[in-house]
Amino acid sequence: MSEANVPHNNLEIAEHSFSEFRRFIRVFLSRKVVAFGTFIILILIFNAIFAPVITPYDPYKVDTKKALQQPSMEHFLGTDQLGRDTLSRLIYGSQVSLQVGIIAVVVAATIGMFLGLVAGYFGGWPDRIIMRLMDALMAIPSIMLALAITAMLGGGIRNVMIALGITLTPVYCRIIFGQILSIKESDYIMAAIAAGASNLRVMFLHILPNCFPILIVLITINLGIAILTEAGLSFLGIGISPPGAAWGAMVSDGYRYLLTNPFLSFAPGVCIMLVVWSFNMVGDGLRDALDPRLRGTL
Amino acid sequence: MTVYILRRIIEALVVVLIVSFLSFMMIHLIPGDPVIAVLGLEAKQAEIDALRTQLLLDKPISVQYGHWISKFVRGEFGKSIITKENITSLIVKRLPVTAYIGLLSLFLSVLLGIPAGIITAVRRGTFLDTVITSIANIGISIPVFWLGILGIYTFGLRLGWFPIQGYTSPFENFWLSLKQIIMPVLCSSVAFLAVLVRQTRSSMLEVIRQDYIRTAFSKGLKEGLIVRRHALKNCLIPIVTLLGLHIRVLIGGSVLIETVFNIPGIGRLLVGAVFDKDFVVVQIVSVVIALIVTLTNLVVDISYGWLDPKIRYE
Repeated sequence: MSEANVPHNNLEIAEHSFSEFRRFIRVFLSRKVVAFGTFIILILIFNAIFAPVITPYDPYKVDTKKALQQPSMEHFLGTDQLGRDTLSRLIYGSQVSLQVGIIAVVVAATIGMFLGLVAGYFGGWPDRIIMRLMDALMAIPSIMLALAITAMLGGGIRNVMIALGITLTPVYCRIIFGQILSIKESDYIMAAIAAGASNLRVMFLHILPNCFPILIVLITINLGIAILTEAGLSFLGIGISPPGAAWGAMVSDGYRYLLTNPFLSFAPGVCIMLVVWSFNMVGDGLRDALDPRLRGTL
Repeated sequence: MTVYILRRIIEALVVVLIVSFLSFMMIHLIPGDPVIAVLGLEAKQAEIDALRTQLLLDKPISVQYGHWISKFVRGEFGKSIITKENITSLIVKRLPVTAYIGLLSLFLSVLLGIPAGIITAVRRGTFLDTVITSIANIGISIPVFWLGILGIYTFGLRLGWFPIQGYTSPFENFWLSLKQIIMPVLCSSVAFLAVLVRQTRSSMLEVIRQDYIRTAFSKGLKEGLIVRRHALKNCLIPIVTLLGLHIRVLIGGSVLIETVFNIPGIGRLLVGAVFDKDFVVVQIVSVVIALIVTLTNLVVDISYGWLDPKIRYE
């Protein structure tokens, strides 16, 4: 390494980090679909936060005289069978989707990472028990696990989040476990242990940061999966309860009026598809920008 | 190789045991009294006691579990507490339906997905690649129940090509069965098809860059031959892994597809049981599903060991 490239002082370190960041942003936004996906996600977040301000009508207000109207200048996407404005309900639905998605993924990532760290680092019995437990969780489809938990604990939105969190945990556990296995034998880890670093220190200061790129990509893609699964559950009638607005439930409600008011089912479906697509594209973009070597694996 | 297979079988058994225990504990994790949850608050004491004895809830847990496992292994699944039907016969009737649709959609996905993926990799950067990849990206994002409703609207209501609901066994009326099953199978196959296109494309691009492919080209071999004989086999390994992972998604999706198209399969059985609070059915169906998924993964893992010699010797 030539002397000229090594940063010598804090200013050079800061400049180097900043230019790395600029490179990352440039590579990340270089694909149009990724840029568009990021834009959609920003709109989604904006909608979720500012929903009470930007919705033209109250999404819960029932007005049966205005039921089942076609899209018009007054109601951009028409009204549903109870006279509620579809567009307003769509905007409020983004709150539910985002909420469930984020909480489920955060819970899954935290628990999964912790279990993966323990299993990978200590090996032996913790490894065997945890991995078999994860296999058992992966043997049941997410929707069915959520259904089973609903049967036991009731169908509220909190239980949907718990169920989704549980179903997403094994993936994180396995990924971290794999990463640890590959990093554990590296020289710098052995050097750290030889220098007297405690297990905890090695785990959190050395091993975990190396997992960040793959974790970030995984979290993004899982957000899309969580939102898709939540939509499926609310379609079946589990999760948000009426008069709450959830996209999946709106698709299910509109099913009956498919011939006369197809927009009731189409619009929420388009929203779901757009949002999940955006998370997938952004996940792809992050993976390519952070570490193109991950391309074949995720 | 035998050691590998034996190890995998034991692991699979452990997994199924864990799932069965978790399922079994379901009834006990319900807040409040499960019997009251089923019968309602106005039930007579005699009814409550009868159901409690029937479900063995008055014995210690280890006895209950032992009893439950021994009956399960013999195929005696008990009776539904709501409809009083024999659960074994319910499952025997409904499982083949779900399996039929699932296998057909898997077959379709593989038939279309792998060639499409190969085309996009070999013709990378062309218009065809962009179109197919874009469709695949949409395919992994589209909610399967919405796709079903879209299909019903377009092909059922507007064009009138296919019936919008229902299921007939192909042994009863083959033509009607075919017309009814096209849309559910197509909708189920989209997700895996899209995943396959993306994965095949990615694997293929990796493989094509390898030196041995370049050698084959420089030797003068034709492109099609190189793809078929050298490149394809190396792509198959991650695809087989994906297949194992996808069984789970397929069964989960069957819940939604069967609800949309009104098909009497195991997915809809589960949904109905959940809403009726029929815990026994929920328990049994969960374990059966887990059994199927684990078995399939076992087969996939073993074939994986056969395909990739490196795995066998670990």
